[in-house]
Amino acid sequence: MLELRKFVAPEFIFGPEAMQLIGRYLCNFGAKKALIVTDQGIIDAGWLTELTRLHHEEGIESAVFSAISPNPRDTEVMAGAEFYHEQHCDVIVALGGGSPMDCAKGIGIVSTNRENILSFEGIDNVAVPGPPLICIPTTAGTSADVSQFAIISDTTDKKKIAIISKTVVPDVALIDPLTTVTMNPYLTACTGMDALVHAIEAYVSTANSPLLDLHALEAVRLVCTNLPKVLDAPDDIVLRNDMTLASLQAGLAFSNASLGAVHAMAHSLGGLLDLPHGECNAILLDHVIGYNFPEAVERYSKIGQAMGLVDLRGKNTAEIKQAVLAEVGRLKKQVGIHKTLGERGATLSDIPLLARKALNDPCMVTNPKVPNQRDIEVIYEEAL
Amino acid sequence: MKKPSDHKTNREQLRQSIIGLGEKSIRKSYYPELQQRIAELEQSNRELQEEIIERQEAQASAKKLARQLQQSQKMEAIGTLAGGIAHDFNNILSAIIGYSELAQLHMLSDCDRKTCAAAKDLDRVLLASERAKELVRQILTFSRQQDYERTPLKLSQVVTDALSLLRSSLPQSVEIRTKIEIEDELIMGNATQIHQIVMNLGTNAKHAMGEGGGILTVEIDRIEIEPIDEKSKILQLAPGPYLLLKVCDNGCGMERAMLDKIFDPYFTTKPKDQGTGMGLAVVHGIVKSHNGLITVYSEPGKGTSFLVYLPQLVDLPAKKTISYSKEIPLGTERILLIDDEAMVARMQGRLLESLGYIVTVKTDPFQALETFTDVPQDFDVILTDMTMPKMNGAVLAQHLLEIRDDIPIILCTGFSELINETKALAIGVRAFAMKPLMRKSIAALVRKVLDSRP
Repeated sequence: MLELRKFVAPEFIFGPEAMQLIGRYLCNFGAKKALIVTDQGIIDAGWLTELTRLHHEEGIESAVFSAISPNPRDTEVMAGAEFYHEQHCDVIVALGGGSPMDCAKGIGIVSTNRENILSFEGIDNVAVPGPPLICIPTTAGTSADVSQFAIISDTTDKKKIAIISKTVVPDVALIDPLTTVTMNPYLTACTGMDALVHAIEAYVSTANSPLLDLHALEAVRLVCTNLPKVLDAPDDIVLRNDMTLASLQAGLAFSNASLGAVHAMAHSLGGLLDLPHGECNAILLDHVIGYNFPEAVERYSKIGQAMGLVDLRGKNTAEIKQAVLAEVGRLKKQVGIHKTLGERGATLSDIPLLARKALNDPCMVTNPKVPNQRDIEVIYEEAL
Repeated sequence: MKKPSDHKTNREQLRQSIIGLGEKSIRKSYYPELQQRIAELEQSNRELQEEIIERQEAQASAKKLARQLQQSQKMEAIGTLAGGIAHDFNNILSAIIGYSELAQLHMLSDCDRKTCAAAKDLDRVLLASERAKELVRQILTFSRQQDYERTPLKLSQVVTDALSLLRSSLPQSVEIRTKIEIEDELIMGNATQIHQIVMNLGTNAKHAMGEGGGILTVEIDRIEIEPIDEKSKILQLAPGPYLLLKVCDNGCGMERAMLDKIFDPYFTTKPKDQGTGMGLAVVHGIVKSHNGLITVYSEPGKGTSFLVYLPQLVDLPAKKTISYSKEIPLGTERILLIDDEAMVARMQGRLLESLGYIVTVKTDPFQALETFTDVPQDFDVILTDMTMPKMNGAVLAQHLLEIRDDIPIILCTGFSELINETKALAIGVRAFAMKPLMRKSIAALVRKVLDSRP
């Protein structure tokens, strides 16, 4: 199908020591005082000390907001926006994984629009962009640093809301693979699987596009090649670099093509049980592939090839599906993600509610197959 | 072709939104300019807030001035009323004093003063009358109906003199601090009255500070009242150079409600036997009669400041001197006396007769004019009251002078808004006398006028 396409991506700098350029970009934005949004893990890893040193070197003041949960909450965003105003900041710098970056995006739009963060839920519901946002990702997976997505936990309704808007695309991303070295193996695995899911869902999305396909498939290839290796050699800069590149490419793809049922269902799950996002994705991935497969056989075959399956040619649909699912299963096992939803605390009685919330998630819009309530319930049941 | 369902249409719309072709471009590169604009708006916001504060202050100040204006109008009204009463009372007092003095004259010749009870009683009548006269004088000072001689004064000198006098009447616990920023600057004023201002304000401060004492600060400074100054616009203080006398204490202070009344005559916070309630009323009258202004600022528990603005004298007028003689001069000349109040007229006539003069008494100015027209050379001096119903003394004097321009005329008045010494002299009257005239002073005045004939 031929159609007009737009490609949205922030200005980004990729490569070792990209973080060192923060001062220059703060100056470009005329910053006087930056709000640094980060979390305790990053502070413990020492990255905040380095970042504030760089601010200081440039003569720019900073205030730190780090009261953030692993799945950032609406209340935390509102508190952060309040803090931003209190401190008279004029630029936001997000340092960390998906949580600080999504929280920083939320703080930005709340501080300019002055409305509750939950009011921006859905697609294109943000009127005014936030102040300049510079993202420095320290994980290789979330890609919030290049995406038009921000996921926030609604603490009242116990669900995650997705805010999809061009206004939450950061202004600059300083993607520095060196910062990912401090991730522990479990986090490395979860974020790596997240990147893989981004790439797969973007590739099979109904909003896919040839330009995005290149990035999606390359991301799949990079993750499958490097994720098992980097778990064995966590300090290998080249492997970390490749995983960060995988995350970036997956991010460029999904930010423009959006996602699908895995993310819709993972958001619902994360909201209810507060589970790590990457792990939820990984648990659900093969079950959703199984469900979607008939709608996108060609595309899943390409994904299989990118994963390294060389002998798919000549196989029938069922065989290809079998091979792809087996490869995903093998990878999950290899990186150490083998728990089921049941083992992670979900129960059968949670499923109808989880399914209803997942159906309403904006990510579900571009899933290749249009599911009903029962379809989703079945997928959850299989993953239980 | 099958029509797409609503669900499908909706889904497609959302998909298009994700692709985002319809959106405007996000260019945050505007940001530095935006920041600049925000800074400008914040600046103008600050300026607006300052303007609001200025306006609020101006409004508060206008309100304060309006209250002062109201206050000054009230004082004006009270002054007029008090002055009117004082005038009537003065006439009655003239009669009481006059007849009492006459009665004494009769008795001196007929009985022994030491044993005569009536003579003693008359002494007491005169003593009480003296006190009544003093009170009337105070009321007239307050209502500015009393004319005092004005001479160029060095304000700093007068105030310093008054302070040394005040010092002796203040307890040791009161410390006087002076800060006099002027030297030879002059005002046109009456030294006694300026003395009285300092004494009255100082006494008030003493009472405000109570037994524990405190600090009495007296300052004099020179200020310029500009035409645009609110004091000039609203309180009708003429623009020009002023000497500002500040008398401040750190005593008990006053509530606002009290401040509005402190210049009222007979208003006092002191016990009945300690204060007359005339002190500040008199100060107010004196300051107004000097074309000045008095304002007060007070805070309960902190103290009170009185600010007295007196116009500075820049051009010196020609000096004039007045001398007094101590003995009662007598005479035999012929006097035409006119006063519409029969009792006063008769009393004054007999008083003048007792001095040896030949007196013709008239109670109607027209009759008097007739008599004079018939025989203008039969009179050596004319004494006329000022306030009379058909024709006032000034007009009568003008008619009399038309008939005989060298006839000496003495204009007497207890109270009149229409005339003062300067005006009286201007229309050709020889002398001007304030009632009630005492025997001694009327004798001196008549003799002086007669002796100064060409």
